Amino acid sequence: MTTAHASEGASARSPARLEQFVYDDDIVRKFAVATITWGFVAMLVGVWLALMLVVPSLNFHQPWLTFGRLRPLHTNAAIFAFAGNAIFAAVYYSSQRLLKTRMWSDKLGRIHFWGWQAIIVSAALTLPFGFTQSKEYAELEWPIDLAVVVVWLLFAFNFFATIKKRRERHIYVAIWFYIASIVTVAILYLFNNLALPVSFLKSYPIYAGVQDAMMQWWYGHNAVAFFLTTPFLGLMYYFLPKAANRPVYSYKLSILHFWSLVFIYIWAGPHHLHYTALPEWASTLGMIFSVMLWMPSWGGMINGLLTLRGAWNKVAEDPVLKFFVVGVTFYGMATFEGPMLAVKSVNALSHYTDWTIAHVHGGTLGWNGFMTFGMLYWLAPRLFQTKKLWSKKLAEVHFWVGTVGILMYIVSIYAAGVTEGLMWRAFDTTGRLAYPDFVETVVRVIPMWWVRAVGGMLYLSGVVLAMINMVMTWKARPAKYAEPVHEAPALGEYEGYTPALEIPKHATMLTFAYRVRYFAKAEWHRVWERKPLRFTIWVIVAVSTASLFELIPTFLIRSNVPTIASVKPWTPLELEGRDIYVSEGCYNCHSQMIRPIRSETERYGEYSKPGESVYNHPFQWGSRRIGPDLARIGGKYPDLWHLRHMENPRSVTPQSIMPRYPWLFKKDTKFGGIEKKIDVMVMLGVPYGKEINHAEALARAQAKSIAAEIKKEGGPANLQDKEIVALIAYLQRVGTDIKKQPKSPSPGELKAGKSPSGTTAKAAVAPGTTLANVAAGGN
Amino acid sequence: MSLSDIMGAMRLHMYAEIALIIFLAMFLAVVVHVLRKKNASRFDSARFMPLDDDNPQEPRDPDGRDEGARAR
Repeated sequence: MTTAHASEGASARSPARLEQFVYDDDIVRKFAVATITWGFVAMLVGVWLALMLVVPSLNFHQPWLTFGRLRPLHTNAAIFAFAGNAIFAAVYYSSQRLLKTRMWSDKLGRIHFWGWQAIIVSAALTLPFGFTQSKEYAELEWPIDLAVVVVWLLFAFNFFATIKKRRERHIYVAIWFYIASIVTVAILYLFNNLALPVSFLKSYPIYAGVQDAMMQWWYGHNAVAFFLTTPFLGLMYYFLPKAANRPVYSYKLSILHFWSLVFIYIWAGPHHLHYTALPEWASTLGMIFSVMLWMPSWGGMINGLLTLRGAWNKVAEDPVLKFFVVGVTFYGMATFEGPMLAVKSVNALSHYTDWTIAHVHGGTLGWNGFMTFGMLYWLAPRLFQTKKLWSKKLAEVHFWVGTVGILMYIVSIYAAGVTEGLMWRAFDTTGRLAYPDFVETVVRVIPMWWVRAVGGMLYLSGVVLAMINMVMTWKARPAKYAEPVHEAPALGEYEGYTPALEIPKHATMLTFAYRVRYFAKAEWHRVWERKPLRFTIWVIVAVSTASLFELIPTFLIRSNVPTIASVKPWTPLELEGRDIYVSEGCYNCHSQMIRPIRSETERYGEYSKPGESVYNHPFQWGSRRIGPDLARIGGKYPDLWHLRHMENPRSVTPQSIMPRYPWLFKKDTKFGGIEKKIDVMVMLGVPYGKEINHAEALARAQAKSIAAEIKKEGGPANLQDKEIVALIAYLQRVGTDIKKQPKSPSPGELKAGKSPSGTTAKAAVAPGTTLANVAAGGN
Repeated sequence: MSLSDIMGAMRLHMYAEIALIIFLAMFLAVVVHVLRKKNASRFDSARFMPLDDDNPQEPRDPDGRDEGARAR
């Protein structure tokens, strides 16, 4: 068919055309060392957090050691520092070898490495000090976000340029997984972090309420998909065959695995928001696609495990394979559990409980952690050129300590999660809540939290063993690393291999028919696979189509977020108080989203409506209830109760595990900065009026009256300049607007001749029914 | 009239079904591609890529005319 091409190719092909190249392993060594170092930090912070839940005073009353501020540091360190560096180590090692070329630029690799470490350090220097966007796994403030984007794009450029100069025609499936990860993470990160800066380390997201929640979990779930799953699958498809020294069980299955994940994963995000104020269609869509994910994920797991077919004897001897086998098994477990938790009726029980925490730790410690350790143990002797690992035995010990650690962690937390879920929804025979006091449900799970802490410590000690093993292997390195030279012909000379569409001059068929035949021969997919650019574009199309289908309706179809006339923007002081709430990370333990489930409305009050959070940049719905929901906290207690509670939670709830917040009584509210915040809110479309030029004065006046109220109730005097007052102002307003009648009545009300004050507006707005308010503000 | 009004009036409830059909069609296309007999030999060679750090699978060697023909 292509004789002309072939003969041309033959003339160009001669041994002299062989090119020589050396793989760059120095960059892999750097990332490998960073992986284990940050892994230790992430797990250490995790253990500390676990202990703080059972011994709240472990924060030593320091703001920067408090649970709400450290938890984001733990999640970010585990995901972006530990798993992130592991991914990069895997990408740099395997891509060069799969593509038979050195990376396009050594320098870009170094910039990527040092840039990424600088980002991690700046995260560690901002999160504990309360600089946060409060969106889970996207907490970093805008200057760091910008740095992430720049470093990521440089990495992507270097990666794609390397693919371009490859000497292997076909692109192995591991590289596909890397491509999908790189482009999708870029899209996700960019869109979820769109924000308007207020100051150097403070910004407000451009989205509010329902839309912010939708964007956040579109990002949040896909961060799991394209940061913690697909790159690690690329890792699995390369390092598992390497370690077992046999090819992957089925390459066909790996292609199916890849495309199914790319097509399906992006839709699954809304399952994080079941029974919230999210429109139900989005929630259902998220559930269905999550359930669909089960099959391709298990296809991938089976593919990984069957790669060891006939080599199971090696697993008994090799700690690397042990880590891989258990890692892949945890992948299977997490990808079964995920779809199950995404089913609405299961989620009704599991949401806000420790069950979710158990699920993610099965995934991160089991799948990401063990795949990483397996890879590091396999890489260490090769990177440090020592022929073998310093101690295989120590790696075995690490494997068993780690496995027992994970099991203790997740089994105890599963038990805690189900206990919480069942206690929250339990009614007694008279139809009242069986455990009306939230703290009862906390006290019940504390023993399980102790077991979790011990499990975490075991896992952490495994990491220490890995560090020792790495250092000792490194010590046995040669004085100078050998750099073996490889040889392969350049790819450019083999273009003739790409099948061409040929239409003979004297065609016997319609030209169109030739094209159909060419297409039907499925050469199109082959051509794509060889053309990384087209392939990448296709991945982007798949990912963005799905995103747009799911996101656009929430943003643009008005009926999806009915407004409520009585819901007004926060006052300047409340806005400042809200920022304190955000900065202290209250959302890490308290949700602000009451689901329309009887046990919840009994416990907390009227369920949350989408229209209630339209001015909330960012949303504060939360994902976990270590403490009770706060969506209807406003007006529930006197100001003085809040003051005593923040001073020492145990003075009002003896068994509370909440930390004390003494610094709120010392730090001054930054009245000077409120004006700017209001201005930014106005730019985001929040309808402020007289506040625009008088924010500071209004805030001071409100602070004064709250401080006076506190004094009247018998509390300390002269608190008007302190942060505690701003926080109380916010807390007392949360969830109260819906109970008010709208100030400016709708035309219907005026016709009925009711007074604008709203106190007697009965005709158009039925008293006491909040749903009527929703309708009143609907249009 | 704002963009929200236009989008609201567009009756986008068909979106989900359309998307589902597109995605199902793509999935079937990938399945067909994977199961085609003529691709089998290429997948076979692709499987071995991670195991050989030194030589590309395709082109197999500088005089790789035969390999090219096989892949085709």
